Amino acid sequence: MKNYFLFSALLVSTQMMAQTKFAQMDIELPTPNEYRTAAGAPGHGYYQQKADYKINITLDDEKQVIRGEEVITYTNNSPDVLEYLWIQLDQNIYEPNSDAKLISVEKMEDFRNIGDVERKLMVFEGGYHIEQVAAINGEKMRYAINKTMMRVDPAKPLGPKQSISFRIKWWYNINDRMKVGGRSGYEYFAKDKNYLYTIAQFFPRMCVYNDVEGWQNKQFLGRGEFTLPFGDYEVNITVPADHIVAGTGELQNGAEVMSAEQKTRFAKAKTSAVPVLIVTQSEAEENEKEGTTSNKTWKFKAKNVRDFAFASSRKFMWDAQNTVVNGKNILCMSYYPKEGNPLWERYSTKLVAHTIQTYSKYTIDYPYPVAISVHANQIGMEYPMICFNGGRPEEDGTYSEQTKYGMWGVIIHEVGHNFFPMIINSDERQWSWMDEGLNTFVQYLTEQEWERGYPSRRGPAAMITDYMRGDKSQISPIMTNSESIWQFGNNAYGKPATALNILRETVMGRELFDYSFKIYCERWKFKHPTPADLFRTMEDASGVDLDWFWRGWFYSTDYVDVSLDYVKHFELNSGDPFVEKSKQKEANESKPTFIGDERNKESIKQTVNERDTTIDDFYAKRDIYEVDRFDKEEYEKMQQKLTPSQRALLKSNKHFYELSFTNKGGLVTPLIVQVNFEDGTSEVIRIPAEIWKMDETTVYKVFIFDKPVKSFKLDPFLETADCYTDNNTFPPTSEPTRFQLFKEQRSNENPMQRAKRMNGN
Amino acid sequence: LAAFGHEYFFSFAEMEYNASTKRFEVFIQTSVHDTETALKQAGVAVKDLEMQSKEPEIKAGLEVWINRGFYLLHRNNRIAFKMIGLEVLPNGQLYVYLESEPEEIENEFTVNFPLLMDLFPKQQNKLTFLYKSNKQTAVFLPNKTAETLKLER
Repeated sequence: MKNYFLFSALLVSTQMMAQTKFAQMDIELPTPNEYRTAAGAPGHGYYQQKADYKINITLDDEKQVIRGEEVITYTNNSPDVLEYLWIQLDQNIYEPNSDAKLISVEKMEDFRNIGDVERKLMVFEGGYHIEQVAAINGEKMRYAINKTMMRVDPAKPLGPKQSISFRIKWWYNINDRMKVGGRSGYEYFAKDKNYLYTIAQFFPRMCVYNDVEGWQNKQFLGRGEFTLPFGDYEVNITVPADHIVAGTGELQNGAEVMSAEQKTRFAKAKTSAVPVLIVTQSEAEENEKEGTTSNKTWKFKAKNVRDFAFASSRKFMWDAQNTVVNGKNILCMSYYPKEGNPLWERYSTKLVAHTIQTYSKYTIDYPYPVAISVHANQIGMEYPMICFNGGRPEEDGTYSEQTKYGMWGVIIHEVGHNFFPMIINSDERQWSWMDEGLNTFVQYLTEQEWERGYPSRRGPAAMITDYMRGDKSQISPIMTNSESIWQFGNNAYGKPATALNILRETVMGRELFDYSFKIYCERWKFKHPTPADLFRTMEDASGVDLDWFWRGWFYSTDYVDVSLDYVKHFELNSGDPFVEKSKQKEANESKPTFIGDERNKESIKQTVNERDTTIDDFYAKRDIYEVDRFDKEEYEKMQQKLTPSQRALLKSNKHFYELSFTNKGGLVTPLIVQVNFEDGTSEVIRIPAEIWKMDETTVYKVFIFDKPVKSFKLDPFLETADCYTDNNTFPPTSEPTRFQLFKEQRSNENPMQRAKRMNGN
Repeated sequence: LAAFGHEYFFSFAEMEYNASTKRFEVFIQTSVHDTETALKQAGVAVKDLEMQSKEPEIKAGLEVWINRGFYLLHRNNRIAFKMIGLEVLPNGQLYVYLESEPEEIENEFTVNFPLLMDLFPKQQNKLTFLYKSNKQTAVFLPNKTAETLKLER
């Protein structure tokens, strides 16, 4: 329905509701200080500790045991005196009575078959056997093991700028990853009786000590991964002589452990822009036929890393290629058994190189000399410069599309973890989303650059709506500790990745977002950022107030659901009596006629006033649409009061539309309104989220156009994660359910029939 | 940690009561990987659901399994579903389409949606129910696998 108006006094009621959604985050964020600034950067007093390691490892392939001896040199760069040192003992999660097992909630329904009972009763004698903790001079040091943590007491407190070196000797049984589970361990290949080891979190590692938490000595319960101080590593790994070993860092003694042929190929790979096989499939298959009793030691060095991991097997194929980031050569490599082919030989190393390139563009230049992808069935796990990834074809060499995309996605994701959190070293044990969420976001960007229309699992706004809608009490805010999150994948991976995508595409725009995100990465590379550092940097570098966004997306379980409640159409009253009375006549005559009036035309042959001409008086005879002298005079007076531009405006035939929006989901959001005009053209209007500043429930907006509008649509490009889109259009339209869409799709011709029709057959 | 396999623990269903046909029409979205694990446990010889999605035995096994994990109760009668189609997406999602026999619903009925909860204690499921112009959303957890809904007219 159309309305007409003159400039009468319109009183807009402004609801003075609580404006909590736009309040600044003074309470939630820690007070800035000399270590971390209000701008989100490291402060002038920022410090971090250093932990250097010299480790000798022996892998016992007969008993599946790791034996190690390490010397840790720990440097206290803090202004504090440290009476004790804390060390992570992650392997203790495999102790038969570990907290991780004890706190696992169980019901009898969990024991459905004999396999479940067998798994429950299976005892794996895991966990560290600490044989020695001693000073370099051999003197024993006092230590105490607290489950997955160990406290070591220096002979005297470690003061600022002081270092201490000490030795730890240990061994443990390696877990069968396929039976016991775990991020690392071994896979046994019964057909050829060989093992493939992916070894990580394998040595006692120094905890982080910093200005935020003191010692980060939160127990390892399985989900919250870890954070560690940076340091330099020298690691010697002794394995059976027929094994190929991949490790964090650069191989120091290739001349000793590689064959002449391998050395030649390795040299070629270093300058090749495509993968070069260093160990071929036929060589790997030959190698796995027989074992050996002799050993070789592979020596690695890695500088400024926060951890070390390695993989070892006689089953490995090995390929490598070079990629250049900002003039720096990076050797991308893959290690995989024949069971990974044909997928791995074809794609893995190319994916590594592509990931390094794309992440470097959006974050920081990849700083390390190598990047490695190792095939490990049914997992994906990351460590500095090396990661273990699933994606295994069928035994006959075929694979599904899902397997292919699963493998591509996991390699991009795990190689991407080099940036978050291996270099931008957030605390995973506290905040999973800081590495998983940010990494999933850049993973999405990387996937889209790998293949146009790549079917990413997470990233686009519309993909998170099923999770976010509905009962808010069963959803955790993103700002929840890693161990207490409901729906870990959606919460720590999907929602933050979506949030960043919405910031980039809708709230900030790509230019501001990309600049600010890169600033965050540059500021915090090789440092320990917290959520506040990210939130503050993104605001400070962009000049966009994002407190409402962090509060809504990261601290609450609100979701986006904005309804377009109504649209009212107005046109300007020109004041011209000829125009307006004509419009009035047209409007009145176009009104529907009451059925009684229609029937009376037939049933009442003549009314009294039709028979008797004396009945009709002035009122009955006047033409209400007639323009008289007074109408003309009033119009002329009004015209004289107006300026020429005002007179032109009155004749402009502008259309006014008042739209009402209600925020039903609670999460404030920009309004993106698509206007479809009657002439077939359309326009998109973008309104910032601040429209909800004074009233977070209902807002109104008037749009003025030169032509009439046919329809309005909210969020036409599905960019705000609106959870219910059926209330987004005016006039209302009903969207088909996914079931209906499927049925329609089924009833249509299949692609071959369509192709036939195209060809005229 | 992997963006692979098991951090999903989430299924979503969209169900409409079609007032003309008196049938419930259901779309379920879940993880292919989790479904394969569950089907194996249920004795269905599945290796790769995407590659076997047209095999009659696999489809039959999937239909039986999904009817254990998603069903309705109306006046103490169990409403089972016929699987009319499935799609395996390259991003690892499984779409299953179900339809019930005609059932005259008077007022309320109970949705049971324990899909995958026996296998994964962290599983959460969510349903959006549509009837005419109304929508209701229900959450299902291992300790709350059923929800009574009403036909809001």
